[in-house]
Amino acid sequence: MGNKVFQPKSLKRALKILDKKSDIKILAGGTDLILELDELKAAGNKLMDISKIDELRYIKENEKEIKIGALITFGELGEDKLINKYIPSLANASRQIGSIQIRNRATIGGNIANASPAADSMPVLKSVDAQIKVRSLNSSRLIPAEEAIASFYQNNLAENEIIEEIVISKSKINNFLFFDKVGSRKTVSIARLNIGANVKAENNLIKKAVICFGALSKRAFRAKNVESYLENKKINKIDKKEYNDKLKNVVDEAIPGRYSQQYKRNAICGLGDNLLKSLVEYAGKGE
Amino acid sequence: MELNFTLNGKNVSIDIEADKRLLDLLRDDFHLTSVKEGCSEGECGACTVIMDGKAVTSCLVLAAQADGSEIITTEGLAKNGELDIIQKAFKNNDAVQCGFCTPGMIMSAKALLLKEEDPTKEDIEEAIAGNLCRCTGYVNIINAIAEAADKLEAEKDGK
Repeated sequence: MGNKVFQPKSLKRALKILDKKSDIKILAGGTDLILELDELKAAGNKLMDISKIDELRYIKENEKEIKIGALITFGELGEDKLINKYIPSLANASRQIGSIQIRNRATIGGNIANASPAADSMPVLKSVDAQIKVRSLNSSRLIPAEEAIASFYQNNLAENEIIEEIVISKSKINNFLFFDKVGSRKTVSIARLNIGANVKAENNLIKKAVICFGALSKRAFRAKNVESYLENKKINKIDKKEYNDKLKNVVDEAIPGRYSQQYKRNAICGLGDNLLKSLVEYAGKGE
Repeated sequence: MELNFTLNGKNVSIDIEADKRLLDLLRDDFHLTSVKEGCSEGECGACTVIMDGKAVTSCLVLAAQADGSEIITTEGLAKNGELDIIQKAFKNNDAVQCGFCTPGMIMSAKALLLKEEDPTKEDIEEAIAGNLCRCTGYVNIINAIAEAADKLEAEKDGK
């Protein structure tokens, strides 16, 4: 016999169900969780499909913030006008996730909750200091995006919590945003390494740099040594060798001795080079 | 669990185990065997169907999620015994070899043409990036979809 599938139509109803029952697995788009369907059934997990909760499907802005409902798909994010205007790196990352079929189902909330170390949204969200609003029946809390991740494929949410929205403060967004990834092929590929950058560049000078890498650790993190190296440098006068050494350091510190270390030492220089080229082009356009 | 949805233009209602995949619902309960199971993990696109106007891999959709939706499979394309323009174009361009990927390819193409009347070659390539074909080398498939787009436009002009 099949297991029960709860299908609440409102967030409140979903939270009430979570409050009462245990061993519930939450399914949004399903593109990750359905792969584990047999294991979940065998373990006696019940499913809760939240894809019918339409109130979690929005992208909106106010004076200070951009808010993305947890059920917004990557297809929607990639095409959305607000996201392309304010956080083009997130739109760019979204357009590169999976195939059209996957992007039509996969949600940003699900990407965070699934806690894949290679999630393409994470280095971007981290780079703009996105906050995740998590709700339970009687309370809600805001946590920095990366803190939603506990470990490999393990999130930090309590059993009775659901991701409600992602909040990005406009004041955190600088004038140059960037995303890129290295995968096994051009499209439909899972990142071996990805980067999200949020840079303040003025008159060919890097005033501030937030550089985040994903797929190098259990969660996306800031490469502070690269950031401080880039800050207060002229974009067209960055020493390639020094820059590459800083990048390689990031890999050496993150995964010492791992079989992929050598590969990623090269990959990170490729991504770093793309970032620099893109910055040079940006500066060349007179910003 | 009772599911109500539109399948190839008809309202259907079925009482099923809700925790199965849409792919299994379509194949086992509705006997729509154009929907192929290939990789079972959303990589190959052989199980692609159209759900609410968008291409999805039915191996990654829970049957329960189909409730209230509109699903189209390749079986739903031919009208009055006549093949859809995309199906004809696949025939004309020898875009079919073993045929296993064909229904998924056609549904990805259909979803593209529902959204974009004037697809570029890049649009077509992106639309079928999630559909693997191990026989044709894709060239004839891309030509077929481009031809279908042209014929659809010509048909509109004719009316």
